[in-house]
Amino acid sequence: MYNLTPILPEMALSLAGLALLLVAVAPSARRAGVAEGVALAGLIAALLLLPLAQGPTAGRTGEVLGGMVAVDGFGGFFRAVLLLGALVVVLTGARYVRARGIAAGEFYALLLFATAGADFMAIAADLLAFYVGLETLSLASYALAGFLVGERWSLEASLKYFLNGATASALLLFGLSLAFGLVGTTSLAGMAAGLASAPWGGAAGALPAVALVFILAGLAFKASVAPFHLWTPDVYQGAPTPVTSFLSIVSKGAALAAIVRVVAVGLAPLHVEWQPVLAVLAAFTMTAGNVAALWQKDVKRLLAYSSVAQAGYILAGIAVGTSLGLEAVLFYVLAYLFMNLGAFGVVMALSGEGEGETLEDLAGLARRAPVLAGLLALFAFSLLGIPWTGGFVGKLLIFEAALEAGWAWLAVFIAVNTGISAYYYFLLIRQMYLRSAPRAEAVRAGGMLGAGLALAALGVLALGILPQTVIDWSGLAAFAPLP
Amino acid sequence: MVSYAYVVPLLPLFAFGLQSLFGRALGRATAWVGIACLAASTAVSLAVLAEVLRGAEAAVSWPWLSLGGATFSMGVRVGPLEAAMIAMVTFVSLMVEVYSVGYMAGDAKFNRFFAIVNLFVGAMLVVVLADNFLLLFAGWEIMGLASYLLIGHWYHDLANARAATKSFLVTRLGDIGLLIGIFVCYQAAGTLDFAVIDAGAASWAPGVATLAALLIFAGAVGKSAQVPLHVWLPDAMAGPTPVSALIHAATMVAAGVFLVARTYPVFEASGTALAVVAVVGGVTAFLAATVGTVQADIKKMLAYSTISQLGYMMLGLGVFGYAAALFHLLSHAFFKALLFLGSGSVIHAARGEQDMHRMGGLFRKLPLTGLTFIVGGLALAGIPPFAGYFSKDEVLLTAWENERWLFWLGAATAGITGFYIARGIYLTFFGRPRDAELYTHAHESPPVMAVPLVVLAVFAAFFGWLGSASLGRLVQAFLALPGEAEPEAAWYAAASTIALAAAGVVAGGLLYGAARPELRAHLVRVLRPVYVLFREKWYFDHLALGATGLGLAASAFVGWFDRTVVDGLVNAVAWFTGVLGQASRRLAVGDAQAYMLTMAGAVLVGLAALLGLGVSRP
Repeated sequence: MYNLTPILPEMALSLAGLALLLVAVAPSARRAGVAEGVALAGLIAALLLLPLAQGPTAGRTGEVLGGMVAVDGFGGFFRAVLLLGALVVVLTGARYVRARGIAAGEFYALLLFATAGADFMAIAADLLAFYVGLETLSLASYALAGFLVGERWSLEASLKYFLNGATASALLLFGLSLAFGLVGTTSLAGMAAGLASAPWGGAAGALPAVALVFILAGLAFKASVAPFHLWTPDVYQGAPTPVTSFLSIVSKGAALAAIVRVVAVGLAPLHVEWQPVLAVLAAFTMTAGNVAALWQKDVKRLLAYSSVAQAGYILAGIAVGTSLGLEAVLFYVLAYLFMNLGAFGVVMALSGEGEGETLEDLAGLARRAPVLAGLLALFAFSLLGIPWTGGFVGKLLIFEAALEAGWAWLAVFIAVNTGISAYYYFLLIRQMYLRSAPRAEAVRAGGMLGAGLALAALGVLALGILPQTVIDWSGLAAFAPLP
Repeated sequence: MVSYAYVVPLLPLFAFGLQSLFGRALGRATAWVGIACLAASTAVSLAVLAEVLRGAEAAVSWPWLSLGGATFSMGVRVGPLEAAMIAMVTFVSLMVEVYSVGYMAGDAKFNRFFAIVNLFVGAMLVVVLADNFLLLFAGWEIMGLASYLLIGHWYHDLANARAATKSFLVTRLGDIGLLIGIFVCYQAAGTLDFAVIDAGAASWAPGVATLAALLIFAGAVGKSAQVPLHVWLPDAMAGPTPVSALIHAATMVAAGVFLVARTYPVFEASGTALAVVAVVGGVTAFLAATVGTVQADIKKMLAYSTISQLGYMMLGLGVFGYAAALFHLLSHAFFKALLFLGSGSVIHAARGEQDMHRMGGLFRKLPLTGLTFIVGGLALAGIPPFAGYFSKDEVLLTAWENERWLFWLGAATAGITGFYIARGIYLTFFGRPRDAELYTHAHESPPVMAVPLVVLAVFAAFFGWLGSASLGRLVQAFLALPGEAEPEAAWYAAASTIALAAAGVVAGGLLYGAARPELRAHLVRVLRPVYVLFREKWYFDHLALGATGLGLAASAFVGWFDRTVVDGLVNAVAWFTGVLGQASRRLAVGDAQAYMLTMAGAVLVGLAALLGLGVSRP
């Protein structure tokens, strides 16, 4: 009998998900309210169980469940980020779900299952656990993207996501099987050890590189890394906004964690190959995302491209391959969690009122809803990297890591991209502050939505003003020494 | 007191917080909250200055962020440069805010205006006091944001919002350079602290110092509106006039000059970079002054004048005149703020009219404004004994010693300056009223606007004395770098500058005051090519337009590529699938296949890169 303590949070999520399926079939007038309550309870329970699951020493590394998952600081950190992300998605998205008449029971059940899958990607110590986590997340996500039944764009988003996702999964699986064939084990640690002593040269010498390319392709799709990102704007635009928000942080976060686990750890001996590949992908991703974002008229598409660019910055931190780089990545992911969820949260506050889809809808928001406008400005500043926000400190650390490791050209790429991105982030500011409002009625954001936005704003500011306090408190610095 | 200098930026930022949180409850009192905080801030600044004058210095620093091997701290340092700057910035800001109570009365966004002005002042003070690049950059960015919001203050006119965007984007271009320059410094020095960078810059490889200095200079060129990034400043005049006085004349635009002074050791380590600074500054001074001669809009004329004067400062820095350039920065802040506030008083009286050709004879109606404006104008023209004479003279004498042709360029600029400001004064205040209705309704501004004018006029008239040889060149001695030599008093150089400036003033006065209009028309005909060149601003806006056009063409190409090639591909795939099965044609998922093709292509490229370039492992 295995000790199941390390996966208590995921078990809580799954139980809550099953309960939600019961809620879905129960005849109740207040079904949506009950479903929200159960989903929140499941997520909060998972967050509360997390310290117990991580065990007494946060920095400890050890593999449990027959070597399937690793209980280490890195996994604990990412689990906290993913759970917190899902929590904010539920808080900010609840009003949207009600307003659009989405079947709440099934919706939240799938959301929780997807989160559990994402968690497993972050703590996987074995290719099997990783792949099962990935598929759990993916299948639930395909369904979630199509939840606006009857809306053509939503269905199309779902189908596109599924068709492309299945292809990416196939690529990934092919790469994984090649890697397995080379080393004869599915354990990530065993793979690293096996590859370190693999024979190089000759025809067989090329195989690890082939495996690497296919594995990276599959993961790059999930993390919206260019040129595997083309689905992102379509799906982000078509999917229900809470799902977009979920995809942009939980799904993408899990994929980035998996890139660290599978590529940076499992394929560690191949770092001579994957470091430049990741660096080029990072540079390409941030540029493709930012340049495309310049032309967007739709807020969700704009934020989709923005999130593509953000993934590029994070990937740069992984590419430099130092412990400072990884610490920077962790910090940036935490900041990204708050700023991106916050931005989507404001969009949801508007789209709940039947608007907020296009940039025009934001015109004059500062007068109609000064608090919401101020919050969106704060999140945009953070995404852009204006000082005293979490995004600034995160970018600073990634710069620092890149320069320290001798990747100066990558740092220059980030700087130039930051300059480009200023244009479209300021487009948001301009719409809100330097335009007259076409209509007068105020927009309200109270209750759960307000709580979610407040949490996100607090996170952005705390990370920006008192980064050291956050780092010390979360013990972030202790997570980095992976291998 | 000097170790409490960090209070100076905190007070206006505190006011900003109060104003944005409680603006509605405070109503009109919002302005006075800001003014009270600024007054306190000014008092602290002056106390700091008094102590620094007696030789005190201070550096306070707190650890802020430490992760892995990286440690960043936040701190302020106060020396002569900082003390003089904070005193000037707080004082001028205070004057401008008091003036704004009158100027902005009746504005629908009165509260927001004062809140953002205080945000700006706080950010500017952070820039001045920062002891490291990180904090400086933080203030720098927020300053730009405040400037953006204030230029677009009257956004119901779409042109103003556009001007805000233009100014933001153009300065941003320079900021990218600055950011990369900061990296280079970090790489070279291993830290962002100015103290370490300053101490070590001399021992950097010359190439590194040149690269760092030129990139930092790019940021300064953007912020201080130097050629070729100067195009945003005239457009920035779309903002309310007090903003033009404070941000776009006295303080923020001088931040670029300050930045070069702040990192001067890096520039000194590279002769090339200093030469570039000098040439850019000299050329800017000359070009902008010539354009100033043909402006009809009183604020646009002053904007070009600001660009030109900032050029003088850069020129001074470039020819080793560190103290001279900063002296000119300070005296320019006083007289240019005065000129802008004076122009605001005129515009206020003329109910928003800014075209000088429709004014005339206003001296009788606005005697106080007229008098103070003339004082400011004489200071700008460099007529002794007004402030601008001493500081400009100092800059030009340094140029005389180090780079003779730049001296002559600067001296010629002095003449043109005298001409355009005399023209401006004459068109506005003298001659026959050209618009009877405007003239009839004109009235002197209320005391709340008049008092700042008088105070600033006193400074514009007498501040220069502090730097005169007869008083032992107090300002320069205070600001000078250790070992900086004072320029030789070459009387013939000084005399030729004064003569040129005076000639310019007289020519302007005669041409517009005494000569008949036919003579002016005749001159314009004779000098047509030159006139057109100036009127078209040396075609720099066309250059910018051209660059934009190039960008648009590129984007059009991308659009065409997208439509033709990508969509074509998509359509081809869609057609193919359509042939295979009618079902898939019902959904527009054609692009899904195109996305997959891209993925496959990327995988192939990845394989080719890793295998083709050779996995050369031992």
